[in-house]
Amino acid sequence: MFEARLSQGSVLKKVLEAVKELVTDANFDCSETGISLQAMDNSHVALVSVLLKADGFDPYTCDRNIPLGVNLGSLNKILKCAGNEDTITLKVDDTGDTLNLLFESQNNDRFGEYELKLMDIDQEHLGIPETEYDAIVVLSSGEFQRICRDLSGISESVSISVTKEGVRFQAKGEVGTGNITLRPSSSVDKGSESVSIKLTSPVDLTFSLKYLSNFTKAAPLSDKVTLCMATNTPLLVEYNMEECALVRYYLAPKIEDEE
Amino acid sequence: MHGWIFIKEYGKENSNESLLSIRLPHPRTGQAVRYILQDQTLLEIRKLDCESQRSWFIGSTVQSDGSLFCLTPIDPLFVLIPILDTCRRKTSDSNGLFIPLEDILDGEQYPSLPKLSVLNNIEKYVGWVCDCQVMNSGKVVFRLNDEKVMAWLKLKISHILSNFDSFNSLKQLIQHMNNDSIDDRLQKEIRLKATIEIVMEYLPLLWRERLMAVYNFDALGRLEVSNTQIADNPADYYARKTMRKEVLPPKGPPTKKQKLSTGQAVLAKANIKGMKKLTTFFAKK
Repeated sequence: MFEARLSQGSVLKKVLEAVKELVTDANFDCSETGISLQAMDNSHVALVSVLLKADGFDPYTCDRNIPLGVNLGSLNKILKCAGNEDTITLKVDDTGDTLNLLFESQNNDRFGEYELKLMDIDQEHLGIPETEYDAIVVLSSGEFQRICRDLSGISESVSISVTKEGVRFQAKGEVGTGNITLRPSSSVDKGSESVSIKLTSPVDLTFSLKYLSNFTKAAPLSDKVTLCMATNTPLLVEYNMEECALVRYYLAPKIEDEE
Repeated sequence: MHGWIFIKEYGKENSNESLLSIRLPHPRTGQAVRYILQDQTLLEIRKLDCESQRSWFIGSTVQSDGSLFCLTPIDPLFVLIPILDTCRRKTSDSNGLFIPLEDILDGEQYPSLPKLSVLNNIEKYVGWVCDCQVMNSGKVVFRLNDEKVMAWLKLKISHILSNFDSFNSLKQLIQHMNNDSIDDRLQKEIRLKATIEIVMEYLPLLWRERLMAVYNFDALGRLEVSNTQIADNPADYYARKTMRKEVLPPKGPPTKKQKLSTGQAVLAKANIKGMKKLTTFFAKK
């Protein structure tokens, strides 16, 4: 038996909006600690890992680990039927072939009940090791989204270089070049607009802008986004909603000289 | 009980002699291959296997192995030439040793080799490709003679060539090259090359090179290499056949094409050159 009640239903809606742009089908693995999902895009150069913590639900019951194989597009269609303020309850009975979704309005005067057929998905699961990153940049998720959007018009790829002075996003295309430099701000009062950089050694890596833009679909989840980089290591883009959800994207860097 | 299903040419005299399976080195590859001895004749085995998709009904039982073994006579000289070649121990300054047949067919490496001595007229056949000497004791000793081998091979090839059109399988080999637009000279060379390729399936590459040097392939040489390779190499012919088989539409309903979300459609166009798969960074669990 699995049952989870989420008072902030919008969180699940936002997570789905983000993940469905990268992956078609995936398993939601339900366990004691929460609901997790790991999946790669079709080209296997990007990976998304989602954790919905058990603490974020009330109540949360999961007596055994069960994978819920879903078509994310279908699940998203059902979740669209839920209002932003609705409470969402997820339920799977012991047969485990359908996922029941219950949407309750805030005033307890409207109930929506939906059923989603589950499927068997055979997916590889990658073990992601703890990594010591050379540079960790925290910036506003809106700012990161804007940078990716702006530079997408100029080039397919962006080089991100991080030094003590700041982080620079650089795109070189046929029409010209674009450079955006963000300096770390010390002022506390700027709040979510501030940029912080933790650096052990400077890095300069190149990534596909189409993929980065795809990741920014998760921006509504959090005001902040964390970019973790190290040479020859996939970039980690993390959106963290402290209390309940964590969405992490990994993207392989572009290595130019390997032709 | 497990059996094999053979098909074999019906002999002139109906023989009751049982088949004797022996292992001998394949003349071209040197790998141990099974042959059959019956009625003092050496038979080659070809296994026809339909990827285990067939079974045999035998009486009231079913044998799951549905392969069919074809037995066809093979000239024992093909098997013997590489062995004779090793036996004579030819060096740059000596033509090698004369050796009696029973020593040539000694079974040290291949225990079945001595059994070949029962073959019909084996001494006569060996004499075709060897220099022979009669010892005082009356014993005959042999030494392989390269010129005799070449003469024997040329005879074989001209024999096949003269009957080329009576073999459908041979005609098929050169079918797509067989049209009026190709002049006679080229036509002949194509047939010759196809024939050599078939005969040379049975001897070490060295002999193929020697043989090719003897014949003249001027007209063929002028053709594009890629064309001729398709035309004259039986191996290629079979490869093409299998390829054709593979492009047949798969059985069963076609897999439903996954609908991509907007984001995925954009990513499908992304240039991922220089990006390694994540599986190269993270190990599979």
